[in-house]
Amino acid sequence: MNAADPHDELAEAAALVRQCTNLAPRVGIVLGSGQGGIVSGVEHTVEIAYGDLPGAPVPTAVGHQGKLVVGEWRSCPCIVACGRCHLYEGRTWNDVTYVVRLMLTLGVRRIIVTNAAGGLHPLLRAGQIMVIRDHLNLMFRGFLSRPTSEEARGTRAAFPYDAQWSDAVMAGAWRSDMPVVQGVYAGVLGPNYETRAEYRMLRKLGADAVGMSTIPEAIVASEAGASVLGLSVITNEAKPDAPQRVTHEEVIDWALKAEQRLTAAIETGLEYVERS
Amino acid sequence: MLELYDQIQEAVAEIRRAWPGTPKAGIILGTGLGSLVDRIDVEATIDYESVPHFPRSTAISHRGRLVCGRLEGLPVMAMEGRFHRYEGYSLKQITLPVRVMKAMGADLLVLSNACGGMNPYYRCGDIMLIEDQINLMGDNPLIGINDDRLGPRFPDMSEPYDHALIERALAVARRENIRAHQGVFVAVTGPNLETRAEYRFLRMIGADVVGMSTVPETIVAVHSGMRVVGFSVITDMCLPDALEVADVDAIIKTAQEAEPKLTKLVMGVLAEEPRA
Repeated sequence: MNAADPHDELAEAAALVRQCTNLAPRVGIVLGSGQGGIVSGVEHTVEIAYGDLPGAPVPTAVGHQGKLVVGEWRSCPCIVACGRCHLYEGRTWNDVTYVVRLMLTLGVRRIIVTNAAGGLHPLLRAGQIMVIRDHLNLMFRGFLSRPTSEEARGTRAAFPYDAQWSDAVMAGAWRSDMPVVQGVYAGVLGPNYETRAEYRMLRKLGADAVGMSTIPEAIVASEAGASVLGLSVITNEAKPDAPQRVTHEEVIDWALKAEQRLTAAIETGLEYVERS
Repeated sequence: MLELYDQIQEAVAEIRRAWPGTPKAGIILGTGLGSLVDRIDVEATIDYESVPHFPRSTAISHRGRLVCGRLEGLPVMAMEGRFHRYEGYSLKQITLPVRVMKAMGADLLVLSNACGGMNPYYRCGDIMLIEDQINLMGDNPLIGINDDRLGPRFPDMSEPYDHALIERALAVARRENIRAHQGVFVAVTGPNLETRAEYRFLRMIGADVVGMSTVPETIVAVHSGMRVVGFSVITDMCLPDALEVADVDAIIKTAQEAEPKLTKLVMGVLAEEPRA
């Protein structure tokens, strides 16, 4: 067979996931840098290493593991991707959207994408959660070609991020006295952190936070008609007028510190799915 | 990606065969700005063709050879002719010489370019010390699996251009009565010059000048831990409401006329570099 056909690979990977578990996941969750630990909230789990999935790209970034976890989270059947691929690793748009396309192939209609992001809005603080209400795609990439079978799957949603779902998470956080904000996420290629001039540009263009992921997954999911919830953990504060050095260790550190908050936000999102 | 390390070593070995010196600084000269090389006490010249993995320079008025020797008594390695994205080279190819300079021992990179001035207070023939940069090339030389021997996965870019070197160059400019500014350089791929709408956009996002080079070299130099000083020679004014048709011959002529000033600034910066 032609191993290069991504649709065949996805179908095979989906068959493999179904062999491993009887659970039919309702929500797909893609976790970002340093956020893999959150998956401990999932019960009755089955784990599948990316390496076992036909066509799956294996991540190289620090703080990423590379496995799918299928199980129940707050009694909601979920499929969680721990470890994501990034364009800055030299991966294609096809690669970085693989897990989301696999989730869609498995029949998942709701996707949660999380990430670590730099806060651009002056009121954002490291450790806060930002609900992504919209994004600014500055990644200069896209599908080179994609399987027509996927194109036919659905039409493009007017808004990539589900407004009601986002509102529900905001309201839940408000009730539990958790500081959650909302804003626009700018996606850039990376891998270098931004210059001061780039931070100022992104702010002027309307972005509240900046990161190097999430947009490909959100686009692919919303084009397939799925609902998307985007959650950023603010891991550093971009201050172009009082610049500080950014290190990946610091980013990972804040991602870990904010783990409880991110877990709470995801769980609020899952409760909303169970109610609706 | 990891083969880059071997490519650097092979290029270094070939250059060392022709020149036993250890450069303190690497110099990359822009369009029409090559004659600074005439001030070097030349110890060896090496055609790009004879260096393994080096691309060939195809741009107008770029010669295509490495000049090794002493400038103001400081051992330097200068590129006469640089590579551009618009020639079809990847950013990795373009920046290979920077990696090679670093591997040869240089910890300082001097960059020059011919650029379009968008800040209305600049004049044709002025020199701008690059204080900060915006990468709008839609690409990045660090994309791919990171080789930790060459630098960190996520380099900080809060001060891409060394402030002490900028101050040193401005002091020389004041002493020599040369009009010099400091500002923000934005890099685009080209090769077409910008439309009026694009100039307005680039000015709006915070850039003072625009060019088609330099940013990739700076990203790689910062990644590899080098100090960088960048000189932009404003070779035409790009004021969208009074835009004249760009004339490449006139641009090169302006560059050549401004060159003695650039030479003074570069020599002044290098004269104060520690020798040991």
